[in-house]
Amino acid sequence: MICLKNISKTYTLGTTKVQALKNINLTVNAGEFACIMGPSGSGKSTLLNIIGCLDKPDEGEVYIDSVEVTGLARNELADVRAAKIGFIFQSFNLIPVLNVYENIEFPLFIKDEKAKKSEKREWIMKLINEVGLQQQIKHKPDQLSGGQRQRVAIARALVTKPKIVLADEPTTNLDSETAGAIISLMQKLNKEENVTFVFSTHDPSITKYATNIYQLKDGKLAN
Amino acid sequence: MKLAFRNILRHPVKNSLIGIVIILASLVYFFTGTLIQNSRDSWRQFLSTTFLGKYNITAYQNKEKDYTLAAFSLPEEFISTQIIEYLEVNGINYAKRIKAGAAVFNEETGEFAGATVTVLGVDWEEEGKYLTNLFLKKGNYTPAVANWAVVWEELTAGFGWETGDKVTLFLKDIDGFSIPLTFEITGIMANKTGPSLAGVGGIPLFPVIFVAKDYLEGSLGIMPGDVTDLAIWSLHPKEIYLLKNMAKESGYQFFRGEQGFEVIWGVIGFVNFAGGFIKIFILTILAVATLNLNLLGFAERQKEIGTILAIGAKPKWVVLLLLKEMILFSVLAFIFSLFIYLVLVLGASGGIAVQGGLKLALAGNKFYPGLVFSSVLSALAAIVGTMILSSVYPIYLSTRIDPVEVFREDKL
Repeated sequence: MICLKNISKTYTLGTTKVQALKNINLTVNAGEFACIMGPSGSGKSTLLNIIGCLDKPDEGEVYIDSVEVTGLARNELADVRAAKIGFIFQSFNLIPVLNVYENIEFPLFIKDEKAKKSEKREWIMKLINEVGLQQQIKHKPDQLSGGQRQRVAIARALVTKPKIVLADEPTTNLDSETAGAIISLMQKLNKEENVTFVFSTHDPSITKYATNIYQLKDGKLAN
Repeated sequence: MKLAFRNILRHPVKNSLIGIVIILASLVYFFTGTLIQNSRDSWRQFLSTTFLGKYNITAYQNKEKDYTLAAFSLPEEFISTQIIEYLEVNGINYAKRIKAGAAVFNEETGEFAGATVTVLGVDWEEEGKYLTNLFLKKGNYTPAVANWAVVWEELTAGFGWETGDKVTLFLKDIDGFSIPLTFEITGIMANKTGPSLAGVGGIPLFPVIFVAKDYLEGSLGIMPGDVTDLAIWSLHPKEIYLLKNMAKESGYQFFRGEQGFEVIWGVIGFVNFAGGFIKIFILTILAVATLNLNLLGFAERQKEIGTILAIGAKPKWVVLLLLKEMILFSVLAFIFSLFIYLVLVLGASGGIAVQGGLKLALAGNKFYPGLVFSSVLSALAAIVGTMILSSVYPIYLSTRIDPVEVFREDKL
């Protein structure tokens, strides 16, 4: 599903050049619930950004669903993201003026799906039930707890029926109990919807849920 | 559209301030538009019932359609019979005129008075049907006197003329020779309604003397039936179009009543200019305020736009979203200002009495606010255009947002 070959990436932070990834080779198979583990600054986010077609490597090749995306233009990468990838962010990144239902529906607008309104609604309601937010359907993000916001983000990531969901430290802003619940929910959806999940964390306690763990250290894949 | 609408409601205070500027700009457009229309209509009505036609055709060139400027040489060609036949065949109300410039000669001192007047050779009885705002204040129109002259009141005051006086005017005949003609003042005329404009701006606004057309024709050697001007009172839009083209093809000037007085045209032009200046001023404020608001919005919404781009939107989608916000906001504020204006119009349905320069601009009439379709359209175009133009740079910045950079900064 995901294949990275000899990926290296350096980015500039202020005046400093940071070599975030060094010769990474990685394959994630369909249906995996993979965890990228590593301390802060190890290159987890950069790796996820490259897998998510948000960033381009300086060297190497990236294959998503057997298609090489390394040389694609900005708009073509946007199409790949809209069609194949769902994102869950550390700080949720919900649209503040939209309610729970509308936030989940939003990627469908961007994708301009031609599905019937009733079919869309049925699917969105199913996702809302899955993430347990039936009672908060009309709530705006500022009326939700951190855990609830992340549940909205999970449903939003799945609404376009992507093949891959990438979650960059999805539990960092949550307490441990909620963090466990969120990872369990992701794991449940991984099985039920047969979606490949790749999430990053520096918290060893949540790695137990993963089917595969990839350890990053100083931009290199340790295992 | 829903997202665009919600984003507008996001900053109620800032957007209300921009909304107020849009309302002010719209009101300036609406008021200026209706003021110019009032001014034009008032003067058209006044002049077309006092001594000009609603529409006029003159064989004179350039500025000599202006009745305050006396033309001293007769035109090389007179009005063609083709145009006169057209008016006759179509039963259009019109009158033939011979217009000529004259220098006033003072018999007592033996010198020119240093003033020029416009002598209009007319068929008094025919023109009287249409010049309903004109009346003889003193004396009479006396057809028995071949060289009768009916003089504007303001002019008699300036020269100290009285009814019964014989005045000598120098005019150029058909061959270009200056010849003295003596006229007997049989009547002094004035306007029934409208302003007394004597001495406004130091210009005698009506330096006009009506005389017998036949007498002027014979004295200047003009062939019977030849005329320099036509005053027309009834025209359908199609006829206006046709006559305008016929006049243009023959090298004549076709003009509306108020254009026959450069001073009045200047007053209307000034209202237009002043309105335009205020419009530019207020639109500049709108542009600067919108640019600032959008730059602030850009800074605030970087993460949101980064997220939208990350989940699959193309930059074009973001551009459309931001443009929709601008256009929707402009149109909503515009509709609100239209509503406010209509309330004001209803409140002032009896007309607003004005003084000073505005009174002159409105030919002494009250100001009746109304809605001029062209000013509604131009206001909408100017406001939406200004809002879009002032959004170009912030929108450009938004399309340059790199989600990776935004998320990296968010984490830091």
